[in-house]
Amino acid sequence: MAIAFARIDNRLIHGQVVEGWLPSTDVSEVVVVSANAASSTLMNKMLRMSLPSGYGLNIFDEKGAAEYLQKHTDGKIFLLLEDFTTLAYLVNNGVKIESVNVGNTKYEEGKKEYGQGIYLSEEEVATVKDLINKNVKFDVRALPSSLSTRLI
Amino acid sequence: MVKIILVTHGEMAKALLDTAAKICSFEEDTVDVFTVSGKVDLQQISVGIKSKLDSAGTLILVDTFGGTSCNVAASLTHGMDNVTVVCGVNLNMLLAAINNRDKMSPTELAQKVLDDGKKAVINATEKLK
Repeated sequence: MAIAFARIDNRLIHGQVVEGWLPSTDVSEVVVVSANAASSTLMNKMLRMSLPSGYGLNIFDEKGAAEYLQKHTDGKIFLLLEDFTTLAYLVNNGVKIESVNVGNTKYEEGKKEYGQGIYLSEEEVATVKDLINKNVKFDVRALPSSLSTRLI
Repeated sequence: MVKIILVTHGEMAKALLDTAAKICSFEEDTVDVFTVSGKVDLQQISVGIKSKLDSAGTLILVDTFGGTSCNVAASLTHGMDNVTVVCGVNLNMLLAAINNRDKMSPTELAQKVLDDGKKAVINATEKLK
């Protein structure tokens, strides 16, 4: 199993990931799944610069990530996803993900709050329920030291 | 006068500005502050920062490189002329920016703020031995 840790974080690589999670997970490579980041030279550069040296980095769109994660079974991957839709795509396309840490999601008007920093639209709630039915476990907390809370 | 914008996590930007205002004399509302923590729509923060940019010269001070504050400011201003994003803001840097913003070009000010910021990080215990 190549995925050692998976997290939903709309901010992708930032302080909580670099200072909080990376030191407490045994990983060698970060895989960021974001179509925006994958297609932007600037975001590519910023993500790389934000990540401490010593970690590999791959940035994919959903399709690229699904292919990579199914082929790539060695190494220890920290999988970083920007939202639940991305997670659902991967799970529905053959990527085995058992447990996902939920750090934060994008806030937009009309979304409901489900814990600190977690905002979901009705569609996203349906996506979450579907994922729970598919036995994906969620661990909602910003940092390793935070208390894990229930998602929905 | 070079425009100064502070972008940080939490209340740090506001607290830095309040503290600076107790040390040197300037109008607090001439420095804009933004926070990227909590219930914020980062797209809206980005639009807000953009609306405050001064084409004559803007210095954006953010708390940490690789943090959301930096990511938002640097991606928004990428490729723009006359805007510099400097990370690692401390009180000395903000004071240097405020005290020199009407004396220096945007480029000179950015350099001055970087230099003063680095000089401010000192092991006082060692130095006073």
